[in-house]
Amino acid sequence: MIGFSTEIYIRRLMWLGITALAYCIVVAVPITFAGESTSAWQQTGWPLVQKFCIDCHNEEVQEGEIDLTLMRDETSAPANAILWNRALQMIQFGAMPPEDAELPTTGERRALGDAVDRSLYDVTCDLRPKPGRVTARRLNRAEYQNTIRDLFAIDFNVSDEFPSDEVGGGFDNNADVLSMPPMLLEKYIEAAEQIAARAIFDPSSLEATEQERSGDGIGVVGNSETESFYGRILEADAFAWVEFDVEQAGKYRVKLDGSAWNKSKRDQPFAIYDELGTPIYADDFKSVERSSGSHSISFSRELAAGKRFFIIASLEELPDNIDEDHPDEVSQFAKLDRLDESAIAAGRKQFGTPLEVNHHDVNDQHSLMVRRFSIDGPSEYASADLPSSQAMILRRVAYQKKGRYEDVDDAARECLKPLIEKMFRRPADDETVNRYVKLVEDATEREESFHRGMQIALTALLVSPRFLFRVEVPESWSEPDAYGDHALSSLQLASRLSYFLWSSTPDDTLMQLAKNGKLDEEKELKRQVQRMLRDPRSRSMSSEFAAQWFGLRNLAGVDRDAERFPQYDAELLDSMTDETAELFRYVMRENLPVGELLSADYTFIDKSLAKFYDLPWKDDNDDPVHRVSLTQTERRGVLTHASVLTLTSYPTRTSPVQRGKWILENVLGTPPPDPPPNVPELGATKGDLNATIREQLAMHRDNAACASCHRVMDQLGFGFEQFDAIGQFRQGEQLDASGELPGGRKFAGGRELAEILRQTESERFALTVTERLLAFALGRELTPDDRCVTDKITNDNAAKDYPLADIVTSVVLSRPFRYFHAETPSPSSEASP
Amino acid sequence: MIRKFLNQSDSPVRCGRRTLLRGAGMALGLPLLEAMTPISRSAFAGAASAGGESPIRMACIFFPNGAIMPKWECSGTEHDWELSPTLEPLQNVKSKINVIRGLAHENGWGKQDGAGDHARSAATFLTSARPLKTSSRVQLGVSVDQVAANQLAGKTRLPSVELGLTASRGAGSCDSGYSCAYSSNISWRSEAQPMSKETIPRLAFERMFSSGDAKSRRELNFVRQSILDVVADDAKQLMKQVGDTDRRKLDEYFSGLREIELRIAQTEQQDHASLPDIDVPYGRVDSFKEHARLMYDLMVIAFQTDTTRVMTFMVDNAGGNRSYVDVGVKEAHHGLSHHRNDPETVKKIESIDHYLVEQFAYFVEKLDSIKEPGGTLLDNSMILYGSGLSDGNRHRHNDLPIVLAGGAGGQICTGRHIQCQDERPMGNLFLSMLDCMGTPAESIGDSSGRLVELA
Repeated sequence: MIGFSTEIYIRRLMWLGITALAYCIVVAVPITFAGESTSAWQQTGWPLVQKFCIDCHNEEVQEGEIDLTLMRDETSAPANAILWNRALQMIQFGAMPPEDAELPTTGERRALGDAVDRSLYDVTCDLRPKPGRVTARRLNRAEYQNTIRDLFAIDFNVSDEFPSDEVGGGFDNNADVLSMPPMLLEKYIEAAEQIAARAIFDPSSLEATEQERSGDGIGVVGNSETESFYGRILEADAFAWVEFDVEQAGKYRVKLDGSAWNKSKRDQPFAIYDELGTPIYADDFKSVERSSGSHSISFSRELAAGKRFFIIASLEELPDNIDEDHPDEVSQFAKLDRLDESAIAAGRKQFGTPLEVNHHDVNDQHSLMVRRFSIDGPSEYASADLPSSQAMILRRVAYQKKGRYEDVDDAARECLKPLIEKMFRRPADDETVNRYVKLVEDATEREESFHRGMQIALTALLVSPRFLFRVEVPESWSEPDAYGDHALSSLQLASRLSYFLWSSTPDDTLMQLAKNGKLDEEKELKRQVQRMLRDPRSRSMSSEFAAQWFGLRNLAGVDRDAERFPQYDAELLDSMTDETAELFRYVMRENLPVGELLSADYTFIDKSLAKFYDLPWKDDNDDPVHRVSLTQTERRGVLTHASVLTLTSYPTRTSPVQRGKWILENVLGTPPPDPPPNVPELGATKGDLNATIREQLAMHRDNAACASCHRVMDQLGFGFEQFDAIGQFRQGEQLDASGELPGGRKFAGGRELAEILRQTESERFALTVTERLLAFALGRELTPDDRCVTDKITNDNAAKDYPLADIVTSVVLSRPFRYFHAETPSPSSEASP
Repeated sequence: MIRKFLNQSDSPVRCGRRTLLRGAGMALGLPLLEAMTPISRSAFAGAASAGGESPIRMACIFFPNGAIMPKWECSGTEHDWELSPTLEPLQNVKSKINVIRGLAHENGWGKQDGAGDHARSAATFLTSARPLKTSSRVQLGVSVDQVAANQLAGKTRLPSVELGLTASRGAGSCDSGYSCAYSSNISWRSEAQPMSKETIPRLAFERMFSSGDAKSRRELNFVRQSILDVVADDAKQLMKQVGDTDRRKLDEYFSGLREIELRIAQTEQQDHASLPDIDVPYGRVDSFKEHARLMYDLMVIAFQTDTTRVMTFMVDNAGGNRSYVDVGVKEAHHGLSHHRNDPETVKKIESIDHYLVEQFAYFVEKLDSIKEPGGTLLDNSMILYGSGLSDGNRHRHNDLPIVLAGGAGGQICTGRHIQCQDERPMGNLFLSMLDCMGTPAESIGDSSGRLVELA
């Protein structure tokens, strides 16, 4: 936080300094040298600073409170890195010195820039490369949502549940600003409860019922008798049937009590058929010794809702190799036609009418006794209806004996150990696993189901700081290197990778590689980056990274004057946002130079944007987004995307200032400061309402307080004046879209400006992309130390004109991404609560 | 029905107490004293602290498989008698109970329905009606407790409470073609609607003393608290590994935890203040004795707080097969009950019978320890204890083992050994009890009139 505000503060001072230069009083101050030096800085750099800068920025006259005499000694550059860095940007961009001052030649400007750059970075970068440290990071909304999606295949809408995250350093994954107010923790608990209930279905929450048919509830077709316990004794030709109303489809326990019933007490084969006469079970019953005895068989079966019939009939013989679950060897029930409507009606009529015991002796016709038939359930939904996470989480379910769970500890452990590893993104020690196992045990002891216990354990896991936070502490075996930094372990790298490229949890592949220590190898890291960027999950790079980089999130809720812009609506806004995201994805996927984002003469649009841009469109149901050429238009790259043009406009008109500022910030990486206080709104000053915007903005140059900033900013913005406040091309209007950038780079219109930026500012743009990527990847604000890293990444990728995916790879391979500076736990670090 | 007579001071018979007090004009002084008992501070204090007369309560307790009758039967006359070995645990309250002999459930006998005596023993127990022998569409009669509960509806938070120690089987047949509903319920709201019972003490407690919302909130908070405990341990473990910056982040987490815990604690505190002071564990209770006594405790509190005035309790389902290991009986109860007069087996049943009476005595004594206007809670109650079978070995449905404790607010003289002249339908006892409850009925099941001997 401190680094952040200080840098902004100094940037602001710098700009104020520039502003003030227009009327600065030039006071000659005698400069004395502390001592002659023959260094390159003293020979070239410092004399140029003295010649062009020091008049307005010295100890006495500190325009914008900038004192450049601090640059006299280049060895102090690391200590004043922010100042040096800002000076460098101003010089290189041409924003300083101001036009009314003595201007350096192009050669002098380059010489001064090089000298500052060398002094600044040769010194700092020669020192130990500091990887910096990252504070424990709470999962932000998108990360939480994606993590839940990837862990449980559950679409959990965080924006309905959690407040939006604070943004720090341009991104909402900034560890230092991601706070945890008590209200949020409560929301996490509520969310966890919801998610657990969706991830694990608890069968005990089903209204399970047992339905039983015995005695007068069993229908018989054919000859039968009734034994003293109301079992139905079937003759060989007869069969029994039962019917049930199944209200809830699902898995049922089907149970039959009965026995063989014949004189010779031989075993009696039988089969159970469904209402279509298809055999679903076959076995044989033994006879019983006592009259009250019976045997029972049972099996599980998924039953559809509705009326279900079962037919029980004896078989002449049981086919060999019969498999209980697949009694395919048993042929269809041949007597199904005897169970016709009238037989069913007759049976139903008899149900509930007490039977008369009429059995006396076993005779030769008897074959089978059917005493009871029941279905119990549903114990589970039909497997197709279960959440897909169920099988992943419940690797084993504790079994029940007489309604009591027997092996909760083992079963819970078997489920939880891998689950905890997945959710905490690292293997869990026994102590931790035991805590969660105990939750399941406690629940079953309270008579909750095992499933409910697992829901509770999962809820707790989702609230654990080990899930909600990404905390990087040195592994127990990790030794600091010569610089005192720790290399991230493979497991820690896996999380950094996945939350950088996917804004989500590592997948099994990453975890497996990490456990095998493979992610320590550069080759494997590169391979994984390529794989991950090809994965659909990398859409987060556009939805999270690019959208925030370009500020597209601010488009939500942007209003437009409905009279002036009738085409503008929320749907069009979505199409606009998608266009920019799509181009970013394309450039990244194809590993194209980042400059392509500025100058692409093609784009990706849907039907409504095609109409809006007045571009040809052919319906294609498979693909709602088409790649189209822009060569015949004035549009090139993101700067001419309707999204960016709308974002940088006011409800009723365009804003060259905003557009210029956007380019300074997001393309050139040199954000201007806020305007000085008490600056009146445009139009409220001179009262000439008929003045064009350009004329009005000319006031910026009349007003010394504004001139130096707006000189560059406004020029950039003018380039896009051909496009109105919602980014539509102003057909046939006579508009002046010409301008000039420092260094005499003249242009007319957005297309030319985009091409100039592409050709002359590719390196700066690449550096900006690199800085943004690194900040996003690390979840922290960059420090001047990081400039060494971003410079190196940019230089390394210069040969191929800065391909985007390559830069991403370089960021992953960089030292700050793979190393961290660890704070050692202080002795007072014992938990206080 | 109220029989007014003064008991002689040397007689063990106690009755007419309410009448006596009222007559002597002493009732006025009592409510003040009662207001000082802890329960009256509870939100559930109900009628007990409202001053004036205490309501009459009724509980019916069923035990399965009959008893060893020779050990159950007491000797002596109505007023001069001794407790039998089985009933000996009731010694302390002998003057407040009546042992009644000669009651029968004619509808318990098999007759045209054949086997299924156990199912019928529970079905008839409080209905005196014959169950339709079917496994699907049950049909019986309204039980005595529900006759009372219907008429008392609205007077208390719950019209009636049904408790047991063994869960019901929802459907199916449990005994020779009888639906399980017959075996596992003694309380019947209508001919076709058994009142299923609560067997888990905690759930019974929640039903008695919580609204649905309070119950689910309590459960939610309970689970949340256990979750917070676990994650706090995770966080503490993590705290030991991190440096100061991360510590600050985790501190935010901890203060969040503490805030939620505090809120849960506050809710619990408020909740607790509104609940009777009894510790009821979550989940099933393993030990029979603990389980039974917890249920009896709950029954005492439910009466004391006037949460309900009508309760039933099944020590076990009909034909129950519990093993009473506490008294050294490992075999299953029902199996043993068919003892075929084997002395060893008979002895085991005797010790079970005795053990069950011990638990009942615990309940009755506890009721008697609660002072109320007009005497004790027991004095203002009628507690029926018995089985639907006498001789379990032969499935006999006459001369049932029956104890009626409590004097129904002085309406029944206690301390008697009542021996009916001829076999009397249990239904007659029920009609008399309903009179005492102030909820009279014309008939119940096969009743033939009031039980004149009780008066």
